[in-house]
Amino acid sequence: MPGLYIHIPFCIKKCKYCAFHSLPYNSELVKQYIVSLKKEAELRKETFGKTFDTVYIGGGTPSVLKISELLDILKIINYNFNLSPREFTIEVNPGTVNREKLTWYRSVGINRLSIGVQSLNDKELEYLGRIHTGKEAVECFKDTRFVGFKNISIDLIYGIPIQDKNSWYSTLNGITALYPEHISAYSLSYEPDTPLYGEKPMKEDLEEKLYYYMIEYLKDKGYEQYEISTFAISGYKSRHNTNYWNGGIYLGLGPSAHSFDGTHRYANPELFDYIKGKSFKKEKINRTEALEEYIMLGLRKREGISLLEFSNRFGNETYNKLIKEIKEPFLEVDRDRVRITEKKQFIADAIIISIIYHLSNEK
Amino acid sequence: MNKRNFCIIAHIDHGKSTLADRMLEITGTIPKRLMRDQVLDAMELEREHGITIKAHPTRMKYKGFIFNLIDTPGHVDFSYEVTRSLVACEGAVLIVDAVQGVQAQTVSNLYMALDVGLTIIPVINKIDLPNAHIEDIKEEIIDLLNVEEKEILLVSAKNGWGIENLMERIVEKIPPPHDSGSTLKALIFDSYYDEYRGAIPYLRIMSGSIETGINVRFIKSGKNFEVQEVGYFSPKKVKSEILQTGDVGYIICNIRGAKDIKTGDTVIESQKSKVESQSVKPLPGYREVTPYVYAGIYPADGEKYNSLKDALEKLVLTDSSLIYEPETSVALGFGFRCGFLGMLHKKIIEERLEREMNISIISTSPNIRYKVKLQNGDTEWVENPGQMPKPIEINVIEEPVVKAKIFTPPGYIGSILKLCEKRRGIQKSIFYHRENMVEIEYEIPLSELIFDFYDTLKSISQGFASLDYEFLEYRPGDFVKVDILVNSKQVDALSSIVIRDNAYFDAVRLVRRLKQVIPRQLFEVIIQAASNGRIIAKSRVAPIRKDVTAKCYGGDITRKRKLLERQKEGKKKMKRIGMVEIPKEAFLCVRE
Repeated sequence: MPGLYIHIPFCIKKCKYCAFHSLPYNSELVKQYIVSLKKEAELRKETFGKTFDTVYIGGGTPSVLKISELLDILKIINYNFNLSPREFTIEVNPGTVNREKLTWYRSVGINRLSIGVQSLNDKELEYLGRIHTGKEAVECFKDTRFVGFKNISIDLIYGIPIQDKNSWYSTLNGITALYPEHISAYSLSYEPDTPLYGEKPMKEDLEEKLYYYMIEYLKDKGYEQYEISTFAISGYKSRHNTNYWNGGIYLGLGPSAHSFDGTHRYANPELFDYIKGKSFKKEKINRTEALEEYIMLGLRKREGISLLEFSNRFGNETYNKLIKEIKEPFLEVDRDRVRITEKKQFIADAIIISIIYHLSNEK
Repeated sequence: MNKRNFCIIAHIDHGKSTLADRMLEITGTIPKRLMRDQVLDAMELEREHGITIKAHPTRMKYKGFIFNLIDTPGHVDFSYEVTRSLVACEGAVLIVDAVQGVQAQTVSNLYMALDVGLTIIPVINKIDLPNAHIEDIKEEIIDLLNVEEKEILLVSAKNGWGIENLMERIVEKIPPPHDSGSTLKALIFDSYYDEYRGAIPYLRIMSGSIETGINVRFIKSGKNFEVQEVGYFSPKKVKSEILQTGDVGYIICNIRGAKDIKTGDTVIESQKSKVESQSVKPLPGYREVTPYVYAGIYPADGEKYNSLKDALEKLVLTDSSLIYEPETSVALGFGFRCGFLGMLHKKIIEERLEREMNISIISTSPNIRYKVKLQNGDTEWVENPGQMPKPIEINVIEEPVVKAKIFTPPGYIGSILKLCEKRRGIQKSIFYHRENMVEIEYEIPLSELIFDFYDTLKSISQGFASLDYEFLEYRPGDFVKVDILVNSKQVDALSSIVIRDNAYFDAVRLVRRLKQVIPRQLFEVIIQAASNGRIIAKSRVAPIRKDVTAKCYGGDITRKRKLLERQKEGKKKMKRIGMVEIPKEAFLCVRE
């Protein structure tokens, strides 16, 4: 079930934690971007296949685009690919949309929204450099419901140094009161070349508490955790993102977007090079790398890895090594599947590295 | 006699090698067009540590005279080797940098040279440098050597200034070798190993002569050989018919065991009758070279045991002061317990293993050799703390004690005495030795002296104090073994022998240090120190609480995988003990 991703590298203002590639909105630049996107789509459809099950417009802030601009983009992809997506998502930032825009989104077939709320606490929003308040975010959400969206995801951030238990609980409380179908909650990270880099992070044990508290809280509200940072009510898991975690095929269009065709990964250049017509970097994924990615992505999922599929793909010897590394209390096996235990998800990377290391050992 | 045997005494970077290069050039030993900088410094490591481990003695011809330039190492670990090289000379050129002035390291070697009676030619080098302060440095040298100003030569080895003068001065001042008869006596002052020809000793002929075909005997090692070839270096190996009194050169006699050559041994002609042989007295000053420092050396990758073994076999041929024997560690697998002259020697061997032989190693903390007298009357030598017998079997543990001589300007006496007292030293004497140099003599347990004493001494005396020591005797001490347990598993490679009174303090220090070195793991790591079956110190490495990537979508996957791969590489540098991953450095924590 291949997915199509379109990267919109524009924002009103960059958030303080954001390391993604984006620039301030500028209609001239958007024009040039659209010209290049058209070329890329025409080129890629020849080699990559044309049918996609999901479409995801992400950024940046796709919702900063004017309706006319987004229309141009939709025309490009509709013209070049066979799209009748079951899931068609656009990322939306409160403060960049109104009911008119949202209604238009719906009219063109977009059936899922991902709203970057992050927090309902205004101090935290300011700390993060967001352009909206908590109240505005709630209003935005209500507008999306008003125009008829039935599949809405909300992004949250925890581990903000000025955050405490109470403010996190009250954000979770306020969000679940809106009944979004899907929630992604990310631990704040401090990336190089962002204003937050070098800030003193929240104490690990507090952050750990916030994380496990959230899991319990959302479970109680009827959300199923299906990935380290992701929760959904029944029937609303994101197909597009699940495809990444399943090692599926995806085509990414736009500057700094990545694609995967099953054997190669492609990385597009950033905006200015992209506009100049510079091509992607292509990298073959060898067996070891494929194995590492399989473990790394598979163990992020709550359903974990299928042992049968694993042994079919990587052979008995590797399978036997994996079996040896399954140790309580870090990993558990349920019938055919191995996964990280619920209570150790917050150290998932350490567990994954340990497994990858032992699978790569000769003995 | 037209021979002049000399060495060059200098601090690192004061221009010893450059001066040697100019001498090779001016004497036409190496034509200028073939000159490459610092011909005599062979090994990369020597250059880095600023010491010369081995350079061939080099013969040069100058206006009808034969010059032999003999190289000397410059570190306390090799002080015995230095004295043997000095004994092969009649004079020494003392180089002082025109900017930096007299440095302590030179002083130590200078005194050794004076002790064996060498004639010193003082030289100020680098006079071409704009910040040279020649007048001040002249005064320093006058103070140091009690010479007159006109005896001090000014040169720039780099530009070749003043070299001619120096050559003349060598001819004029350094005495020719003393002719002391026709009975062959030659001093082995160094050696090297040739893969095809075996171990090759460097000799200084003290009396008599040596030529191809005669049979010789090495008095101390007791071995007899037939001489297959004699010759000298100029700077390449040159065969010759004969080496005579005063000559410096080599002999080849197919010596296959590195242990057959002992630095300082005397070569004599083998006689038919034993009585006749025994009538020839060995040259004075010989000392049996024994390792002072022991440590375990293990391949980082257990599969490389045989490569490590081959590498050590090779090294020992070029360096007979290294000893090793196989040992096994529960924690580290199969490896070797090695004996070294000192810490620098250990470091050099380790670096040669890693760089020249390309083997990644894990070495344990160094220790000295204990003499353990057992209840049943037996005596055991213990070079590995992990192998100390059980307390109940032990009657007494003895440790080596050395006689340490420290030379220092008087200003530092206070802090030096304090240091020696702290290191369980017993003061023997203090006296003013020459003008403004004090000689302090202490008896100090070797274990207190060998690890960081030299560096501490240098730092408290701003580099001016120098140290020399020799083995005195084994003396009983009140020792106890401290074991380390990591998550209840004893790690034999981390055991140590300590003074009972310090055991608690040492144990606390060690577990704290291990806590810093051992990275956090998926689970809690408890580090305990135990002595006589009792836990005396404990620390804990808290488990990782957070290690998770927030998002991992299409664009994040490659970057994330690469990050994991780097961390995976990091793990390869760890040893796994039970479930716990322990980095290499942890095994060096015991002695720090």
